[in-house]
Parts: sequence; structure tokens; C-alpha cells
Amino acid sequence: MKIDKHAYGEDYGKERSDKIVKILSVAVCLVIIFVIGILAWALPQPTYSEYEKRDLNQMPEFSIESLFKGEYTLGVELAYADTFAFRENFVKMQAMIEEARGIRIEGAAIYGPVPGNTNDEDDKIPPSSEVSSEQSSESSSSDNISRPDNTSSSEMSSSESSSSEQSSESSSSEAQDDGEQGETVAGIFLYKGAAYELFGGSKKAAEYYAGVVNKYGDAFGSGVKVYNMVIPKHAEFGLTGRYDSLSNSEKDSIDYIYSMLDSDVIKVDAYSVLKEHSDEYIYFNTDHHWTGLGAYYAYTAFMDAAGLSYYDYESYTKHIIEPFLGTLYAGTDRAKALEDNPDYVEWCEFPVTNKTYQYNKSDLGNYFASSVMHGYAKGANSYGVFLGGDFPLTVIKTNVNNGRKLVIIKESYGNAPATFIAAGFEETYVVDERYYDGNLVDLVNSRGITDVLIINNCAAANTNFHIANIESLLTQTYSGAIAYPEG
Amino acid sequence: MVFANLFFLYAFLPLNLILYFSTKNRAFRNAVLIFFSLFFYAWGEPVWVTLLIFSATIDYFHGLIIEKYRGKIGAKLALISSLVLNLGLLGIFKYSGFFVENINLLTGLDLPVPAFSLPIGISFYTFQTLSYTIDVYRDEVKPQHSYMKFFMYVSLYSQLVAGPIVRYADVAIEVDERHENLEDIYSGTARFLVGLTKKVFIANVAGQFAETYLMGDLTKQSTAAVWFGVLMFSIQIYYDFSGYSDMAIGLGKIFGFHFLENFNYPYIARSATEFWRRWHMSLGGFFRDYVYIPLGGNRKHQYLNLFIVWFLTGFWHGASWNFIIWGLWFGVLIIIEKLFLLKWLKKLPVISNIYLLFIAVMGWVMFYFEDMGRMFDCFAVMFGAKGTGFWDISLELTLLNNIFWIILAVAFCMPIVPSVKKFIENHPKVQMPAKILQIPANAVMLIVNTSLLVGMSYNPFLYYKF
Repeated sequence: MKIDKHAYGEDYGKERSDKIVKILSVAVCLVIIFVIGILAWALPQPTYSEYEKRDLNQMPEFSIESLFKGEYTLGVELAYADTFAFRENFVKMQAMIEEARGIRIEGAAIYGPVPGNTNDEDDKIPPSSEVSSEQSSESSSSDNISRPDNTSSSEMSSSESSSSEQSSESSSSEAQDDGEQGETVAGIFLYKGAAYELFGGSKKAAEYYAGVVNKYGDAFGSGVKVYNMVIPKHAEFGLTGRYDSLSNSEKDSIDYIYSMLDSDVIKVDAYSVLKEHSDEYIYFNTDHHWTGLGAYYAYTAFMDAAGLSYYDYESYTKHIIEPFLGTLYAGTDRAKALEDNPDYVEWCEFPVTNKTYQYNKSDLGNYFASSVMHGYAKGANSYGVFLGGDFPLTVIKTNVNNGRKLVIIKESYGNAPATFIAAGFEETYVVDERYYDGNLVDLVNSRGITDVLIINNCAAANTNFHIANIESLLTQTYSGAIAYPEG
Repeated sequence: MVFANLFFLYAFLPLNLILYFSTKNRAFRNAVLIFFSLFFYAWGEPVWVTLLIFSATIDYFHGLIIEKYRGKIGAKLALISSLVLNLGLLGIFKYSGFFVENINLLTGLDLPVPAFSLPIGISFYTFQTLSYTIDVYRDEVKPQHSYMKFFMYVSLYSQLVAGPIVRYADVAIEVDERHENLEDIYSGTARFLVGLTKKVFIANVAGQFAETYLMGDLTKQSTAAVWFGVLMFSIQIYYDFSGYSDMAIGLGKIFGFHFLENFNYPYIARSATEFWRRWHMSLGGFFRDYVYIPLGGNRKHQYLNLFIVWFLTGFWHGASWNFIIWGLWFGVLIIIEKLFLLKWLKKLPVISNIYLLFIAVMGWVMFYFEDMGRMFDCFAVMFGAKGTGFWDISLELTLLNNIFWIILAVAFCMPIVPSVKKFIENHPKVQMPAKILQIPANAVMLIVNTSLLVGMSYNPFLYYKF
């Protein structure tokens, strides 16, 4: 018998290399796990992510109670993930993988839930052309409209309950912007370097909103004028062609709301002037707010309605903050198309001598000196240049002498126009419906207010969370004494 | 704790591996597994880890008592005690709320509804210990005399929270004597990473789409959009569940255990009967061996037996009527198939595939919606009864934006991997290159999944109801 030593040796070598390859195959995983695992503990733990613009979860305090509730271990997992080694690189890689999942024709992409075209006849906003004829029958049934309706579409409520009160301890020197808080979370459409929040809308919510605004019309004495302004958002003018159907008509919704307002509420038509200038830079491409210029046009519409004159845009001293990547940049998981097309914020110096004061959340007993414009705002918070963000109350006193005193009830969309409007009044009280704890009737009566403006973006005017806040301003009471800046 | 989690992958697992492989001492290795398993479980259930210990302890003694009193009344009593205690645990923690609610509904009473939070994995580990006691009673397996070893079998974290249901008889030898080796560690690692990829890269993404299209007001969605949502849920639950089983099997291999397969490409089945031989096989086997056959199997009142088994299968998935409906849906289909349909299906290759996919997807609608009203809305929109229109542009964008991913997700529902493996087996020349390719493939899977876990907030655990 002849033994083939050569073949035996070859087999042996094969077995060896087979073993080496298998060891390598396991070892590569072990190396990754151990190296990253050790670095995750050893590297300094960041507390804030500049890239994601948010505070990172920190290791929770241990207590038996939180352990038994499962909160402790969950907290450890969150903190571990937030302070993970090379976190920023991994997050960028995740965004890349997400964008590589398919094709984007002309950059068209969709994120999150899309407001469907409702077929629920009860909740469908009638087209503008039908509004006037329907008006009489609608207003007769308006008794039941002030019922917050939780059954309507999910895009209305998902973010409201989880209101992530961002670390709200704001000092006067820090611009704050509550971003999406309390805003509707509709889907986002990304197209040619701009992101659009899609509008769903709800007939029931719009009716509720109009009913609440009408309550304002009846709440004050005859000397107080009440105005309402509902502002269309970017998708209304930005989506054209076949993508137009992604978002429902905001004009229909605004017209429907206005059709239900009583005659003692003055309707401010911001829509027409914005439409007229819709090819200008009136909305941000990476943020859900409008620009100072857009707010300026709305301001002119309001001043017309209030019978006051307004400044020419050319007359302002202007500044620019750039680059600005806003909330929609975050909402699209930091889409490359937006990163390549950042916004800038142009802001105008407040044109008249003023004293401005602001209040921190849950504390109307103390105010601090502040300013109308906050030029140091930067980065993701650049929209915070207007009023410094969302404070429960901002009081602006000017050297204007026309006997007019104004209250503005707003969410963040109102911040930018307030910085123009206030220059036309002796005193302006900017109330954030989400954070102001005081009673609005008291405010109007005690401060000798002559004008009340309720200003909302169209999505907020269709969101029960906001409407309920605006409604309760009329009835809620503040537990302590509210301090007002005198003189 | 769950596997698809950074803390597990980069803190728990490496520590577990270091300690486990730091010595060859069997008792020490077993102790390490027990310690890490208890930690793993207590991490998510710091209170109800006591139930796990209780269930394991009583059945350890049940096994010993049955052995001691074999053939006598004592053995029978121990078996009954095991059934009562294990099913009692399930009854109290999983079903009591459901029962009281329905009693209230039927009688108009207002009994207080117990609100236990369902301990994770209780349906899996109570079935494991039950199977042990029954198998010992039937003298199919010898009882384990070492409490430590028995406890290790019950608590082993790899299959503790999401299956498969590992029967003691299948791992009895390895509990006593197992040989961890390079081959197993190598293939176990790859298997674990494949499971992780199925969970993180496919299931989580599909789940996000399912939620987007199914969670909101269905009557506002187009027919195609709701179909897409339902198909995405079908993708999600398959990849999630089978991914977990892959990870369990892979981890088991690393530690020297060989669990039976739990999924075998269920969506290529050609009948409901075949689907359940490919889907969650360890559960089907459990009900077959411990319920269906003892009831008489196909020898007496077969249809009643089938009805009971499928009622229980549905009910096992959650204490809610929709799961019962889902189980009975398959029960009825399987009975119809037994009566005549199966013969036809065998002769109709493509049509039988479409038939199975259709009934499986319809089943997932029943499974997804606990709210009957929403379930009917979903069916209504799917079949155009709500007049919501067939197509919408946002769905078109979603499809385009994810087209490569969708192709991958659908393709890997089919047995591509086994075919490739077979090809490699039959072609010795590509064996070495294939193994070398496994090295970067492992690294890529680990890194990609890590980045998705870091960047994505959506990572649900589907088995809280089981």
C-alpha cells in the first residue's frame, strides 16, 4: 500500500488554515466588542451633543425604588447608548445607511406619518369655495365644538403627551427655542434641498379653534379689539405639481376658521400677502418656522387691520446669522440634502427705544430685564433671535405714544412677528399659550389693554393641545401674585 | 434585557464571555451562566425574577418526586402539582385580567380587574419546566439531580425571554456534559450576527413602517398604503421573531448548547398546515406532544382536538380575543385543508404559495389589532370598502426611498442562505474564499447594527404579551 504523504500534508495544512480563518472570524468580533466596550467606559462621558443639539442622558441615581420600578436599568441603558464611544460617527453612519435604502428622485423623500386625505366626512375640511354657503348651517351646530377631540388623526397628538420639556431653566442670557414642542408631528417631505412639514388638518379641531377665538371676542369690554391671524406654513406654497397632494390645503382650513368667526373678531389676512411674496425667502428650508421676512409681511397685514402704520423693510438695520440647520434637519435624521443647503436668519434691529422684560416658566412673580432681539442666537437655535425663544411672558415697553396696548397670544410662530409689531404699540405683552400660567382677562383688565391678537400657524390652529391651552388662558388663575414691570 | 441593545452587546456579553471562558472548570462555567442569566432577567424584571426561581425550584423537586414514586400515586400528584402551579402562574399573571374583564362584561358585575404586569418570558419558561416534568413522568428523560444544572437549563438567558421553547430532553446531555469548540463558536457567532441583523436592520425598520401606516386613522389611508403597512408588519414579525431565535441558537452554540431550529422559511409554505411546521416550530411541537396527542390526536375526535389546540395556540400569544381569533383562523383553515384542500394545493404550485401568503397576511391583521373596530377598519380599507382610493403619492415616495431595502427584506424571506451554503458545500474550491469572506462580513454586520442601534430610537420588544 502506498501512502501519499503529500496529500496528507496538504490536508493538514488545509485544516490549519481553516482553523486560522475561523479564529479570525470570531476574533474580529471580539476585538470590536472589547475595544468599543472598554472605550465606552474609559472615554470621557459627554453631557451634550453639539451634533444632535440635545442634552445626553446621564447615568441615573441608584435607588431601590427606581430599581424595582425598572427605571434604573432603563436609565442606565439610555445613558449608555447616549455616551457610547464614537457615538457621533455611528449616528452619521446610521443616517448614511438610511439614505441608502432606496432612490430619491430629485431628492424627494418622505419621513414619518403622512396626513392622509381623510374620508371621514365629519372631519374633512370643506374647500374654500363651499365655505360661504355652508357657513350658516355650520355655525348653528357650533355648540358642541369646544369638545377636545382625541379620536382624530394620530399626527395631532403624538408629541403632545410626551411633551419633552427641554431643560427649561432659562437664564436671561440664553436664547431658548422649544422647537417642536407642542407642534403637530406630521410627516416631513424633503424635496430639492428643502423640508416641508405636511399639513393634515381636522374640521373638528378647526371648529374648536374658531369657537375658542369667538370666546375671546366676548371676553373683554367693548374697548378691546380682538384679532385673529392664522398663518400658512411652507408646504402650502412650496409643494407643487404632483407633490401638492401630500399636504392638505391650509387655505381651506384658514378660510373655514375665518368663516366661523363672529363679526367682533377682526380677521387678519396674512395668507394673501404671503402668497404674493411666496417666491421670496419667507420660510426656512431646514426649520419649521418662517423667516423674519415672512413675519414682516404678516406684520404689515396686521398693522393694516389695526389701523396703524408700518415700517418699510428697507428702513431696518439688518443682521445675518448663519448657517442655520433647524428642527427639520433633525426631523429628517440630518438629511445630507439639507446640510448642503443651510438656512440663514436675517433679523432687524428693533426700531424704537424700549424696555423689555421676560419671565421664566412657572414663575410670574419675578421678571428680569431682557431685549426684543437676541442677536447671539446661533446654530440650531438661530430662530431664538426673535424674543430669545419661548418665554411665558415678554413685556415690551416703547416710547411710542398712541394709547395702544397689545397682548399677543402665540406659539413660537408668533415670536418673529411680535418683534415687528411691538414697535407700533406703547406696551406689548407677548403670552405663550403653552407656558403662561396667569389669567388673560385679568391681564387685559389690569394693564389697560386695547388690542388682543391671537396668532397661530395653521397646524397649531388645528391641534387640540394648542387650542385647549388658548381656551384655558381665559379661565385659569395664577396661584401667586404676578409682578409687572412698572415705569 | 434584550439582545439587540448596546448595553448587552458591549458590556454584558463581553464580561460574560471573559468569565465563562476564563477557566475550563465545568461547575464554574455553569455558575457563570446562572449568574449572568439571573442578572439578565432581573435587569428587566427585578421583582418577578422570583417567579423564575420559584418555577425552576418546584419543578426540580417535581422531577425528583416523580422518579422516587414512579408508578405510584405520588408521581401522579407531583405531575398534577406541576401542571397546577405552572399553569396557575400563567393564569394569574397573564390571563387573570382578561378573565375578570370578560366576566364583568358577561354578567354586568364590576369586579376589580387585576392589573399584573406580565413578567417577560413567563410563557416561555413555564412551558420549558412543564415539558421537563411531563417528560420525566413519561419516563422519556431522566430527572436532573443537580439543582444547579437544572436551574441553569431553566434560566439560560439565550432563550429565556423570546424562545425557542427548549425542551429539557433536547439538551439533557449538554447540561451535564458539553464540549465548547471552535467550530461551534465560529458558527454560533455568525448565527448570532445574522439574527441581530434580521432584528435591527430589517425588523425594526419594517416595524417603523407598520406603525406609520397602521397606528393612525386607517380610514385616512389609501388601500395600497394599508396593504403596505400590513405587509411590513408581516416582515417585521417574521424577522424579529426568527432573528431572536437565531440569536438564541447562536449564543447557545457559543456556550456549547445545540437548540433545535425554530423557523424554517415559513413564508414559502404552501398551506396553513405546512406554515405551522415552519413557524415557531418549538411551540407547535409543544402543543402537538403535550396537548394534541394526549387528547387523542387523529385517532379520536380529531377536529375537536384541533380546535382546542388552535384555540390554545392563539391564546398563548396574548390574553386578548384577537389572538384567539387568529389561532382559530389557522385552526379552521387547517381543518379545511385536512378535509379536502390540501390535496388540491399540492397540485397547484404557485397558487398554493399565493394562498398561504394571503391567509398568513390576513392572520397578521387579526394579530396586530387588539381593537376589533380597528381590525375591521383595516380589512375594509384593504378591500376597498371605505372608498379611500387605491394609491397615494406618499406611499410611492416611501417605496422609492426604500426600494433596495424592500427587495432585500422580501428576498431573504426565501431560502437564499441555505442555497448558497449548499452551493459552497458542493464546490470545494469556493469553500476557503467563502470562509475568508465571513471575516469582513462579521465585522460589517456588527458595525452596521451598532450604528443603527446608536442612531435609531425605534427598537421595540414584541414579546411582552407572550
